[in-house]
Amino acid sequence: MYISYKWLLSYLPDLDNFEPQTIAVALTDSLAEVEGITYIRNGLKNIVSAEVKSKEPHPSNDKLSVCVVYDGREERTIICGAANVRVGQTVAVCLPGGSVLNPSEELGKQSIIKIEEKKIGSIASFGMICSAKELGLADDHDSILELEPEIQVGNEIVSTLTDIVFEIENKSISHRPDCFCHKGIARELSAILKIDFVDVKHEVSLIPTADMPIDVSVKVTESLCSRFCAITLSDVSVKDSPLWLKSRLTAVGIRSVNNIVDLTNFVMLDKGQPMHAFDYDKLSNNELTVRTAKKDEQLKALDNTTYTLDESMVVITDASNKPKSIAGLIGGLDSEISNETKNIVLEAATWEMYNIRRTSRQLGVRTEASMRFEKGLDPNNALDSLKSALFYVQDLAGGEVASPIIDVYPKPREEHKISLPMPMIKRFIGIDISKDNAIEMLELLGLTHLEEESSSGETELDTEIFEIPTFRNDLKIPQDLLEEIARLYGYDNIKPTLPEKDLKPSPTNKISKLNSKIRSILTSTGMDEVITYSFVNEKQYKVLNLSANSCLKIKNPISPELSLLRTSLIPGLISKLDYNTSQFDEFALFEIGRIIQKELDEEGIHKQPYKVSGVYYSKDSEEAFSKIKYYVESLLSKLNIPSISFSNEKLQDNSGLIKAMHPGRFCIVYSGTTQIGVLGELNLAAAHRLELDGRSSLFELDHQQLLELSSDYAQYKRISEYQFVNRDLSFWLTDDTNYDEIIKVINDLKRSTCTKG
Amino acid sequence: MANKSSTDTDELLSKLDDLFTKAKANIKSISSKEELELERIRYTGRKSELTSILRGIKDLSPEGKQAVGSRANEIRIQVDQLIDQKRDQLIQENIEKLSNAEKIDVTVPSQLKNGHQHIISQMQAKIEDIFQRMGFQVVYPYEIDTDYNNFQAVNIPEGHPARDSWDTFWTEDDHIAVTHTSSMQNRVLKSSEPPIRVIVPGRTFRHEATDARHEHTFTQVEGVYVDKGITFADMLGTLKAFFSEFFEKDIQIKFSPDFFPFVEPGGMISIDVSDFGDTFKEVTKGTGWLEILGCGMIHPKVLEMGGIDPNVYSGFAWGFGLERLVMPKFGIEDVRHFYKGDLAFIRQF
Repeated sequence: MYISYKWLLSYLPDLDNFEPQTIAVALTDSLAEVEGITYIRNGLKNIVSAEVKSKEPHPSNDKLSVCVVYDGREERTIICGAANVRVGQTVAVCLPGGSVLNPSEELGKQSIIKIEEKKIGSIASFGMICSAKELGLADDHDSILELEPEIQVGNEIVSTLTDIVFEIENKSISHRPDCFCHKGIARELSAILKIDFVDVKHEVSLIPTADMPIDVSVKVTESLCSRFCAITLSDVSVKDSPLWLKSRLTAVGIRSVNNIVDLTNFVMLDKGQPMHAFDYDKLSNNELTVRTAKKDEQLKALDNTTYTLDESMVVITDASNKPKSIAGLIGGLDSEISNETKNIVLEAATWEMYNIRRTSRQLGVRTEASMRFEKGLDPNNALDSLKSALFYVQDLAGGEVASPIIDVYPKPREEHKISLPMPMIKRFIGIDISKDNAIEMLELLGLTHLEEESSSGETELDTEIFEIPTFRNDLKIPQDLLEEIARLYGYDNIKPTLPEKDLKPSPTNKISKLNSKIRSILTSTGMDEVITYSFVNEKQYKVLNLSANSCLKIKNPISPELSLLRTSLIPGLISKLDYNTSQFDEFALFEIGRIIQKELDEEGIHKQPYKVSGVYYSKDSEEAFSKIKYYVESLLSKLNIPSISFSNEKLQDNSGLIKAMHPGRFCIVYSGTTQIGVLGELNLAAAHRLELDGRSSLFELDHQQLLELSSDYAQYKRISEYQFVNRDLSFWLTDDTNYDEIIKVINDLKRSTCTKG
Repeated sequence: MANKSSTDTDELLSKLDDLFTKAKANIKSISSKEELELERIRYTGRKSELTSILRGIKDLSPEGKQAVGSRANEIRIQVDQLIDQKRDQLIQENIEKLSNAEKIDVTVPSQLKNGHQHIISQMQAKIEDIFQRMGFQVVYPYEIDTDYNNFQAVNIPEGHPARDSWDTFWTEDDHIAVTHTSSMQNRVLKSSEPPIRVIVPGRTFRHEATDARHEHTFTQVEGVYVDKGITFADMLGTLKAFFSEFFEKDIQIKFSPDFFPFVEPGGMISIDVSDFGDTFKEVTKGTGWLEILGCGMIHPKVLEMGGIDPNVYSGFAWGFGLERLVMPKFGIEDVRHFYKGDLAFIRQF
């Protein structure tokens, strides 16, 4: 959000004692971060308002004209290239020695051009008549900017054009609807800097002097539309806004359209209440109705987009029952204020925040208005803002009040009270601050201290009661007041303390402990740890021969590559393996992480067990299988997992990963009869699809089983007291006899005759 | 006879001396172990010259026998010694020769390498360690959780505008990829009586496009401290102590107001990264302050939903992005390095 320094000055006359940098720091420290300070139209120099006295064609260039302008002191000749220059116009003239902004550069990022006396053909030009772009007001550079005739000739106008704008980060004040306008920020600054805040109240007569009635009926609940105010004005003259208004709006990033539209925006930026103006003559039968939209009802809006609505949205219609505006969001194109508009309806309403937010999201459009309504506006601000708009419109566009003021406000919002036990400041914030000081702070923010109702005294029972203005609906509980006190005290002035603490040791997190063991064991074997996304895609599964059917889907993925939740760490690890093969000939990666299953646990949460997985790659070694087995065996033995065995009984597999493995080089890992994981070489077809040159292998282990089966320390076994003897035995075996089977036979020999060495 | 006998004795003794002289010279000139063995047999073996000389001893007088015998013995011992010495010398020479021949380039790096723990794991372990020393328990979050735990239980009702700050991934069955590890706060509060000191480090998700500063997946460390009489100033002190431990030096911090629905008052802690290189100057738009941690006093509603009486207890909570803390510490310029899996990155730590 952009906040203009000049605008603030209208509320804070003493603000000019503070440097912009100081103001920015004050706001950052006590309200919201100022992300930048911009000097608007910086560099403009020597520009005055002047009247065009005569215009003659240039003798040698028929695209130019030779004008004489009166700048308040003298008449000067200026050669001008714009077609729209006219005798009698008030224009902006840059005098020789002055400077304007470079019209060939992007608006808002323009550099400076110096203006000097210059001869064009045989005639000397003493200055330049400026276009809107040369003044940094708009993109138009084909014509000169015509100033309002009310402006006095000979006025220096640079000071009207320049400004200093603070860019305020919105997020940290998303709970402060009152701060989305200059008045709100000014009120804050007055409390932070302890300077006077002068509220501007415009007195306007609401007595109709013309007769153009408007019938308003609100057919939605009070919660959807808590207030609806409107008034009609007849015989307004729609025209360009005066220079000051254009300057104000463009400084804070709002395009100038015409005086009426500009004023509705002005009031919104000034007081925080979005407004809308309808062309009275485009509304059928002088009626406005607030109702919920019908399914598939359409409205072509001011942004030239046609929106398709539904029953959850609120619209404003006329007697034709056609939507003329989407409540709180955007007006309709066919009732917009145009140069032909004579009579207008000004509307200021308060819409429900949740509904506006939902509508805005659903339609994919976010406007300055919806951005404010979403925060939850104070309905009490609506009528004041409408009066303020009325004042400005009559001032700049004339017109007569043509209807009584309409104010549908069934349940006015009232001030509420908060009791603040004063000792809580010390007990909850930890600062020492006098009671008077704290009360003063809250009063500066617009709260009223109710002295009579408060129970004073320097005791624990010392509770002060405050009346909260309706624009501070965010203040609900004593803690909210404590925050106000703390931030005005200055968070940075709070002295850090440490809590008094018992000596209770914190319980160990077993998962954390196991993970650090696993990390240290696997890295000692030479494996490197990676972390991969929880998001995967079907392709990653398919390439490995695996099915992604059991993966939970993400409804709104960032991209199709990240649309599923992983059910194994292997697909992600294989992608990382693939990534590294161009640079490394041999490596091994592991990851410890959660997988996500469709199945829910008793709490209704998706089951998310941890896995420990690894992959190995070698460009030329044939050891892919033995390497991966080495990693697994090292891990299991260091974790003291008992009775490890390996089996290649495919049908026993619980992991579903066997399909990604070499059919002759995989195994299921057991501790006793418990399956704890799988390991094996990567399926050759998968390797081929991945265009992997060498050999790869992988493992995945069940973290929960490791947690249950591992023990901190190994069991001690007595060393045999008999001499160790080597015997070389040979067996005749069939080709498919496994090592394991032989060992089993040996191990099964009677312990009395044989001790495993 | 006596004369002949003494002549014979002298002759034998002189033969012995000649033999000894010859043996000494021969042994000296030998250059291999095999020759040395032949020489040993030649001088001291059963069929050696020494043996044949001694065969003449039987004709000698007892004195002669005595003299020749003892001389022969001396010579045998000495020859044996000479041979042993020579053998040692030959072995020594051999070893030297071999050693010289086996000279290698000792600057060539070894082949077997240890692997590397990911820097995020290392830093998470460090953070867990710091807080555990401060008496905090470590609890891990789920990656996928319910709307209730992620939002509602921390005072962000449905439709609340604050939800905009947490761009959310939804699963097909309307669960949430947790946007912060505050998703565990309600469970933590419910699980035990105060004092409660818990940190929740874990994986979190935000639905946003990835660039050098933003990742849709990152690690957050949430912390909760609830007890009687806990203050806002206590929170500041606790977090300050943590930062000093983590960065292993005194870090300047700035504390400013911020809004999070689950805390009141709420704040943002920024750290001074002006010493951390140019990358971070850019990030902070030249101010040197990097926003690092959102925090505040736990909202009474959140305490209530966690079954804790806010009139008796107070507490604070915070959350920070681990990557955001690790990046300035190591001068890492691009957050995407962490999940890329590039060994060129991983192996640096």
